[in-house]
Amino acid sequence: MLDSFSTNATVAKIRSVYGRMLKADDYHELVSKRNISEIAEYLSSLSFYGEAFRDIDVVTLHRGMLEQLLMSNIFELYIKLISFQELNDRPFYDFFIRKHECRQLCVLLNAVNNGLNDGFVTGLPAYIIKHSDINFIMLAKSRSTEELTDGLKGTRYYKLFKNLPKTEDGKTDLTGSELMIRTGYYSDLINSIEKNFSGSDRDDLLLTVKREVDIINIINSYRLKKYFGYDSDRIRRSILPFTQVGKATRERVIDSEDPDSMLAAIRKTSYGKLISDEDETIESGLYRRSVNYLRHTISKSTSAPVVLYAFMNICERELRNIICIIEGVRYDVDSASIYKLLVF
Amino acid sequence: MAIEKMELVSITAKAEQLEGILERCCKSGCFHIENAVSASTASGRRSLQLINDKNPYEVPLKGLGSIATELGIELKETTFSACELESGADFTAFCDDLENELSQAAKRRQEALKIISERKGAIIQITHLNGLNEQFDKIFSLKHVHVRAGKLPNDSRQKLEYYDKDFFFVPFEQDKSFTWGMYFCPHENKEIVDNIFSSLYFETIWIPDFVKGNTAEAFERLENEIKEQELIVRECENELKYFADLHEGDIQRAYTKLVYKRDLFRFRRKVGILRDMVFIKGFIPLKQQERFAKLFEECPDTEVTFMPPDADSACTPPTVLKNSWFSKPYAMLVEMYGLPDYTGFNPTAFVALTYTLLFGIMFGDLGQGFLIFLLGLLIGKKVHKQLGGMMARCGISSMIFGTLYGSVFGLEELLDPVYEGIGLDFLPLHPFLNTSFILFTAVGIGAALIITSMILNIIIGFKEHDIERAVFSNNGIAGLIFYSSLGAGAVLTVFFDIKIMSAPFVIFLIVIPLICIFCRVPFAAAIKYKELRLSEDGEKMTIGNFIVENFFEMFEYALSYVSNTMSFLRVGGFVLSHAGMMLVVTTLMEMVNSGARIPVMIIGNLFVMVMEGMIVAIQIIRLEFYEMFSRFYSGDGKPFEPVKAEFTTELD
Repeated sequence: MLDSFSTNATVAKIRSVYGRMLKADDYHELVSKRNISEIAEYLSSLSFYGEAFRDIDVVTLHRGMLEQLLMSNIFELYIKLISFQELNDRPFYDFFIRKHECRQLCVLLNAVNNGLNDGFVTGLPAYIIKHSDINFIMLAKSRSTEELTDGLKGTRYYKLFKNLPKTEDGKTDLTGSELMIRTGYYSDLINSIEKNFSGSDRDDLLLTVKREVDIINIINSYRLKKYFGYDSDRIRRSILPFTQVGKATRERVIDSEDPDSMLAAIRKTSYGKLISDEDETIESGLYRRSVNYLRHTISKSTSAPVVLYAFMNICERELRNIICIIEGVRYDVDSASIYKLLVF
Repeated sequence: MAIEKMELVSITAKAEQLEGILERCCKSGCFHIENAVSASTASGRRSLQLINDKNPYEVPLKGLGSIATELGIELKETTFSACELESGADFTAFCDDLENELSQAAKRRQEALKIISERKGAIIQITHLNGLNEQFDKIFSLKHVHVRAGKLPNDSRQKLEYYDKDFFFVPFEQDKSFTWGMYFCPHENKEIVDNIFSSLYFETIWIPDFVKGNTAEAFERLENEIKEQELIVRECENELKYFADLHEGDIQRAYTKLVYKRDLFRFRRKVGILRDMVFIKGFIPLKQQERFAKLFEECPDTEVTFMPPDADSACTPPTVLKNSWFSKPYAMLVEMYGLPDYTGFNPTAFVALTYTLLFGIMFGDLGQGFLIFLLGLLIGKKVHKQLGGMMARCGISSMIFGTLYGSVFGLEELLDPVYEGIGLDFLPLHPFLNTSFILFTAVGIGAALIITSMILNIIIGFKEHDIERAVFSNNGIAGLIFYSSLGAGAVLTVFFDIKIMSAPFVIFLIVIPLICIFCRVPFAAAIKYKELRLSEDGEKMTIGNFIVENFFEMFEYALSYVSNTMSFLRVGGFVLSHAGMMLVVTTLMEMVNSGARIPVMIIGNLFVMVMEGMIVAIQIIRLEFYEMFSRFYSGDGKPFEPVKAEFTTELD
């Protein structure tokens, strides 16, 4: 109890920052902008993003740099939040760094196996270089999965990379490896929650993480069924092995014979309630549901790890919305269509 | 002294009439527009969409603004009936004509300014390359080496170590975001290295051809050129003044009209459109209904429908406070805390009475009160009507209590003869002679105000059919009985030696109300839902959790009863502090020679008035907001903001 009181200030701080995030009116303004500079100018006028744009000339700002700037803003905010009450020294709170490390390792593995190392370095976010224990710049010099694995010696990922699956011709199975890295991330995260928290903190965190996994699994299952015609067994092997919705429900979704029956099964789950007939893809409805859960968690929970986890997810969702607007504006999509794609 | 009654208005019309309709809404001065489609449904799941057109007046407005600036015309609001321009295209054409008509002088001036700007830009760029002592032209004309100067994001600089290509980067200067410098590579690797740097968001600084020599020489040359161009600018400005005199009237009219049109167009963002029909939704005060309807009588194909304010659950009616002449200025404080919601209680009269009373008690001085009254009248007329009004009322209250305390500009004995003459021996009430009386009275006033706040809460609770709030809460009937019985019991026992705290008194007036507060949720649920629930919203709660949670809440309530009451001690404290500070002033007066006494008195009084007056004003706001408002008031209302076009020379 005392522990939860001691992190109340972090919860209050997160809520105050949360209150400054983009609202429907802001999205309305953003989708009506004509170019990247106008988007950057508008964002720089908001208190949530103002600091990130200080000293930056928004007129000459490149799209890629804008995206890196925004992501970096979120990451620095995360670092500030966990440093505020020195939570950074406690277990679990490094989850956001781990998540991005895993993301970059997946990208790097692909890049190394396809000879795209230079492209990886270009896109490597500076905040990862700064905050990760892994030297990604040196790792990017690897020319094979084996070299990459050797480069990871002494890190928590070495064991995982030693056991990455291979295809029949001896090459690295990139899809299987990516799944393994992501499974490793969620497995570590869930173990860390179970080991370091108890009571409602533990339950709420597990609920939030597993809901996130469920939504990833549902989307992937549906895509694999609809666009690649995977059967139930292949889908089962291609998803993350955790669930909140329950194994029976998950199996019901996976065992659907065709995309339509799978969609019907998804609609029957608690996640499928916001899938609308007017949405072009099921992702919008599922993400909308996810955002609702997260917003509810932020406003109701008084636990710092729970609120922080939900808040960082909301931040990433907001970033995806902004990137969607940037891409829409860049390719001259009309504002109403861009607006439809936003999830908030 | 209530809240203005509102009416929900829905206007449906043909899309081409939209501008005329919005003009009428603005003209009415009483139309508070709402989004025709609520934000939650605006993401395209319904066919009625909010209009999201680009404002065609923004660009010409910026253009006209810059022409006016160029001509040195100070833009002012003016009547624009003589201006025949209507559409965005008309205004753009007007701006283009003006620009074309601008004499050669404007162009020459522009060119000169451009050169100045370029030279100044070059100075800034070269400043970043201050570490370079070589000749620019020599570096850039190297035969085998490719060179680029520019800025590299600091984030990207760390990535340079990855590349083992034939290049090197020389940094000259670094700030929070960028490092300025140059990179060098062999000519044959030029494309690869340029690509690398471009992918790292390196921005090249193009050193202009006119920059020659090393940095020091370049600076000198550039500054001389700037001086020459500034002379040309001054010559041109004289010629432009003549052109401005000729066109000022037209520009002023067009600008005012353009601002009006621009603002009007902005309200389109809240208008819904479905095929060729537009839909506007908003609120007007009920008393304006007839006048508002008349404005649309001559509009064909326009339907104006009036509905009760709660007809649309997606729109919350805005709040307009209705106050008497006495309480009107205090609405400022209520707005500062937050307006009541439309169906709520307007606390302005309560604030007006208590604020004025407490200010008088805490800052009682006949002379200083009179000065505050005069200052209030002046401020009310010249600066801020509401602030002035509050000061005038507080000034009078201060004069009344100053008379009771016998204090005039800190001279505590000045009124003694008057009271002696009348024969009132218990007055004046010298604070230092009646310390205990003043402090106990302050606490008594506090208790009375807290009880009044509770009674208000009970009335509001019953009005909103909230049984928990009205009956069982710590500020409801249970809280009121508990607080007043305990207070009365303590006072009668300690001060009057009346043994009132008998067993039935304690059981019925203290213990039972306490149990009611403790079990307020299940009791209220039993009345409301005819079932026993431990939580209002149906969430699972164990008996253990219920007891622990309510035990802590009861503890907090008990503390708040005591602390809130004691908080009013400051009222008495300030009576004493005022008298104390004025005593210091009079002592200082006695210490100096007779010639300096008057200045000491004036400065001392001014000092006390400003410092203590402000502290008292702030402390009363604190008492109002924390001790009283927290018991009955929640300021979650929405302000009434009628649509209007406001003239401004500031552009977004």
